[in-house]
Order: sequence, then C-alpha cells, then structure tokens
Amino acid sequence: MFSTKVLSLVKLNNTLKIHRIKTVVPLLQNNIKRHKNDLHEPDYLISMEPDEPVYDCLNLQLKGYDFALLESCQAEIHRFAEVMGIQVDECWATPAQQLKVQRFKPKGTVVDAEYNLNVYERNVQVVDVPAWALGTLLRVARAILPEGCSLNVHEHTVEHEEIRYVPDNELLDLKQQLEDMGGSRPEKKKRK
Amino acid sequence: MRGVSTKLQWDIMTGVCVERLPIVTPPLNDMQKKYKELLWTMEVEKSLKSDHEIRLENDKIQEEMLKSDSRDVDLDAVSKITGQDFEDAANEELAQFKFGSIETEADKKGDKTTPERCLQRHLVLVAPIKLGSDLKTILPQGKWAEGETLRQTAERVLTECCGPELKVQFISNAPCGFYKYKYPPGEQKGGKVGAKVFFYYASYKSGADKNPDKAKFNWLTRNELTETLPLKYNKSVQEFLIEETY
Repeated sequence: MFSTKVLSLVKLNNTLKIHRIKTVVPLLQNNIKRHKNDLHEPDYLISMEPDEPVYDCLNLQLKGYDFALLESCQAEIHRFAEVMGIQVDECWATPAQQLKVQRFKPKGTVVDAEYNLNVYERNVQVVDVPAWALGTLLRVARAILPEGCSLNVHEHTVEHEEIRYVPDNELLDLKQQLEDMGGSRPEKKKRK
Repeated sequence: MRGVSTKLQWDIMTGVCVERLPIVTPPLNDMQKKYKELLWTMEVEKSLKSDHEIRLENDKIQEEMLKSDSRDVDLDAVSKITGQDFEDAANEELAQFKFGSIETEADKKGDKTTPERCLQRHLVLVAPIKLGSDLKTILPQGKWAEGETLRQTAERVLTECCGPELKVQFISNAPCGFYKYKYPPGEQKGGKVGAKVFFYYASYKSGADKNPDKAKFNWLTRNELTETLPLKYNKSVQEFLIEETY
C-alpha cells in the first residue's frame, strides 16, 4: 500500500506550488427544463436553443505535506463549491505516499541529512459543473491553496476509483493459480 | 412593433486580464493570525500524541531509571540519540537555512515593466490601447471578428498586443467580466453607439511581453490598478479580480 522512493538533492522551500490546469475537458450536454417566455410560443423554438454545456465528473486532487492544513483546505473548497451551487458528490482521502529523502554532500556520496516525509492526499469530487462556473471554481481553489499544497484537477477515471480499494490478494492468487493450471474450463452447454 | 433600427448597436470587444499569481505566500493580517492561532490550539488539544512526543516521554523515563540505578536498565536503548537531541539538531538546521529574499531587483529599482516584482502580490498586465483618438492604459483589448468565438478573439488580441512569446493559460471559455461604454458623439462610426467589452481571465506562465511598437507594458498591483485605470472601468475589473487580504 505504501510506496517508498529515494530522492537526492531535494530543496525544502515554503513557496506556493501551483499545478497546471488541464484544458479542453470534453463537455456533456445537460437536459435542463426550459421555460417559455410566452404561452403561445411554439415548442420547437425552445428545443432549438443550444444545451448548456456541463462538465460531468471532476476530481480536485490536493496533495501536501501537512495533513491538518490539507484537510482544512479541502473543507474550504467543499464549502466554496456548495456556496456556488455546484454539487459535491464525494470527498475522500487516499493513503499517504511515504518519501525518504536523502541530501548528499556536494560532489560526494556521503549522506548529509535524511528526512522522512509523507505526501498526504485529499480528493473533492464535483459533479455537473456548468461551464461558466468552472473558471471561477478553479481560480478560487487555486487562491485558497496554503503553502506546500498542490492542486490537480482532472476527470474521474476508472483508475482513480480502483486506487481507493485494497486489492483482494487471495482472489488474485487463486486466479493466478487457475491460469497456471491451464485456464478455466469452457462453459458447459445447457441441457435442453 | 419594435424595429431593428431603433435598437442600439454596440461593438463587441474582448479584454484580456493576464495575471501573475503571487510566488511567495503573503503575510497574514491580524484577524488571520488570531484565527490561525485558534485553529492551532484546537488542533493540539484534539490530536493524539505524535511519535516524537512518545519518544521524548520514553527518554525521560529511561533517564529516571538510570538515575535511580534500578535494575533492568537496558544500556543499548539509552545510548541512542535522545528525542531532545534530535529536536535541537533540527532547530539548528532550520536556523542555518537561508530563505531567498522577497524583494527582487525590480522592487528596489521601482521597475514596473517586469513580472518579477512584488512576489507576494497579484500582478495584472496593463497596456496603452488606442481607443479612437485617445491612448489609454487599460487591459489589452480588441474587437471581435465575425466567425470566431469570444475566447479565440481573446487569444488573438493577446498575441497581437503582446507578441507570441507570452505564455498564458486561459481558464475557461466563458468571460469573467463585462464593461460597457459609449463612444463620444464625434466618433460613432457605422451606427455603433459604443462598445461592450467582455473580459477573459488568463494566468501568466512564462515569457516576455514584446510589443512590436515598443510601447510600455506595466505589471500593476491592485492598488496601482485603482490609481491608473479610469474609475468605472476599474470598478468592473476589480469585481472579477480576487481581493488581496493585506
């Protein structure tokens, strides 16, 4: 569950980290009820109006070194999204990434200092974001970020869902054994 | 029945707000400091003991046992680096660490044309734009052409005004602000009463702004914007810019 990496020559600095925001996320059309201005207006005129573009499922992923700060940042973003009228589907946390950082002396292999850092992660999932609101949401989320935290906004994919669950090792072992033994039997034909 | 001719005709323009975000966290104002201390006290009260605190306590117990000379003193455990030593060494390392300076060269000179000034503030790009016969310092602005979307107009306006080297990131397809003004009576050409400007927000990534005319571009903070821009225009612009807290 936890992965360890060894990095050399990492600078510790207290600056804001602002992450790149992806452009052009595919939009979906939302079927909103449209109201007539005038009772006698024909229906086809209203149905001809273009749909309001809506982003389906976006993950705002926050990563940082101090989880108290990170959690309050997540709470603030959640609050802002609710205030804006955007529906927040789910918020979750994934296990921290544990980093062991070794700083070497210049031009040598002698270890100068060693640090154990944890990179904590929190996610806020927003659903049905209207296109005109996304710009403001991103700007506000970026402005709330405390020091040492980074924000990553992306679409929710199957991999993001899979990471949250602990894999069932027994099941995987059994499946591996089955494959080693030559694959599963072909299904029997149903008796008439 | 209202005819088309009696409706006022407006020119559609897009303005681009290129903002350089702060690089260093700004200092906290009084209320923020008080709230931060409150949150910190609450956090300390509610949380469990950390590994380091447990280690300090164990060290103290070991020390007491050593002093009282009781049996079962495990010398191996005692001769390790104590938690207090580790804390002192860490504090010393922090004291020796040199932070980069917040004031840049441009700050000392008072040079407003680079985005490398005022690292703790938001900076907005402002350019001298020709409106009719006047030359005014406002956000880069240009007219919408037939067949292109407003966002494409905004991108085009920016490359025309500042050159292709300025790298920016547009946030969304929708504009974030709006300003409407009427042309002076002598300059109402083509039946257009005035112009409607839709502002687009873009964040500055890198690159220098090179104008072919070598006109002066300035990167201004919020206060400087209020001083430089015309009154009502400034009001519309400040509405979509995030307020600074100090």
